[in-house]
Amino acid sequence: MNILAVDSDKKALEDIRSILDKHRPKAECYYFMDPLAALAQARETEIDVAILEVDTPELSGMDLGRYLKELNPYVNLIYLNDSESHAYDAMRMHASGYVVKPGDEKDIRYELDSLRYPEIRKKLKRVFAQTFGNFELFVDGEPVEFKYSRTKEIVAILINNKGAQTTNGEIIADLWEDDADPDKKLSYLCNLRQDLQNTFTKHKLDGVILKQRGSMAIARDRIECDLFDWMEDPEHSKYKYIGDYMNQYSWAESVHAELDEISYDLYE
Amino acid sequence: MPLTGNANDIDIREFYESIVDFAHDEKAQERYYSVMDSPTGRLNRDGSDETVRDRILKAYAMLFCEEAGLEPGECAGVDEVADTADRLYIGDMGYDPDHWYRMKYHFPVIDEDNYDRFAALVISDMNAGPLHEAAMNDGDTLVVGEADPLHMTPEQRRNQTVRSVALHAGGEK
Repeated sequence: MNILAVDSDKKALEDIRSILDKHRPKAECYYFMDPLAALAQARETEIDVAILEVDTPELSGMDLGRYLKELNPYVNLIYLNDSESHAYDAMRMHASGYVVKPGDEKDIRYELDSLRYPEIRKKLKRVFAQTFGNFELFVDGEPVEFKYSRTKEIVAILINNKGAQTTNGEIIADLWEDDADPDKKLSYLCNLRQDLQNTFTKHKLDGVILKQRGSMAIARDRIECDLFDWMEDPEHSKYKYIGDYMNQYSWAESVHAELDEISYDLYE
Repeated sequence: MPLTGNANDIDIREFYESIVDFAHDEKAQERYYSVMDSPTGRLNRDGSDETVRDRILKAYAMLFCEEAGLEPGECAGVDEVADTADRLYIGDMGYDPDHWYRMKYHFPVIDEDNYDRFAALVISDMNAGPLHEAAMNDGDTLVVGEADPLHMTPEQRRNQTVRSVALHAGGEK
């Protein structure tokens, strides 16, 4: 869990630090007095919980919260304020909690224990990727329709890479095995990436694709996938590999050998 | 810098609106891509046909990327746009959504998928959007500060150099 704490009062920030050290010792915590520096951090790290003072200079806690929600719609915002004056604004933003300062350890702990988007939510998976046999992507049990068939192939490539960031160049190399017209292909890839984003947004699947500049990855902890499950524990997985893997894609053939080897070891 | 060459039929106001509506309207996306891929009738330095996308990225480079060391007529790339997007303000320097340009228009991340759209938004806004109207009516124009304000100290941000930028009727800066 990544926690961001922003308070322009150094003493208040130290108090938050000691509470988090005590009650969330395993969390990765980031502390800032400057809200703009905090935003810079949030652009590089997915933040799960943000504890924000409301009245910070230059960028208010409310505006910072809005920016953080654009970066991660499931961020838990916990506001700290001298009064209840912004509680309604916080509620309209669907903040997770609100503490009137000075507040105490009990108040912060209560908010941390009753997050709007608890970590367990990440374990509820709406997306199932079927790789054994033909590749198919399901959301809430229904196959996903993309505008372009190549878009589905991009998802297959990302799953085949098992959560590793995959560069545009690698995607292009898999989608089009020749190397003619690279500019045209990059432009087409942008359309496909937009189709991917449109489709995932339509299904409210924020955070399943992790984008970085020039590359993207599938968040493997947010989807159910027969390949991932089987590779983690081939013997006890509820899925069985029987020699078919993403049959419709030629680039997937190279993975067969790896899967076959695991499979042979298993049944020897 | 006018956007159009051979692409005379482009309605720049409609183009601006298609970018504003882009995230939630697939027809707006199609209009946007169609305009961006249309030729201007000019040639790039490498001899290829210049598109509206090229023209916009050249304009963006000229207006906002002076520190990037680009050659005259060179297009801004994803790095140049991403590195300069935080420096644009509406009216006055400020980091609330009314003043911070990329935040007002919801560009939390700028990458390969949207850097040209961000540049197109800025340029079309200056040509035919609220920034254009404000410039014509002596209102709030685009204010450009120094690059990378998020990694400045509060004092550095307060003391940064800012300038006002507007495209006049003839298209010159």
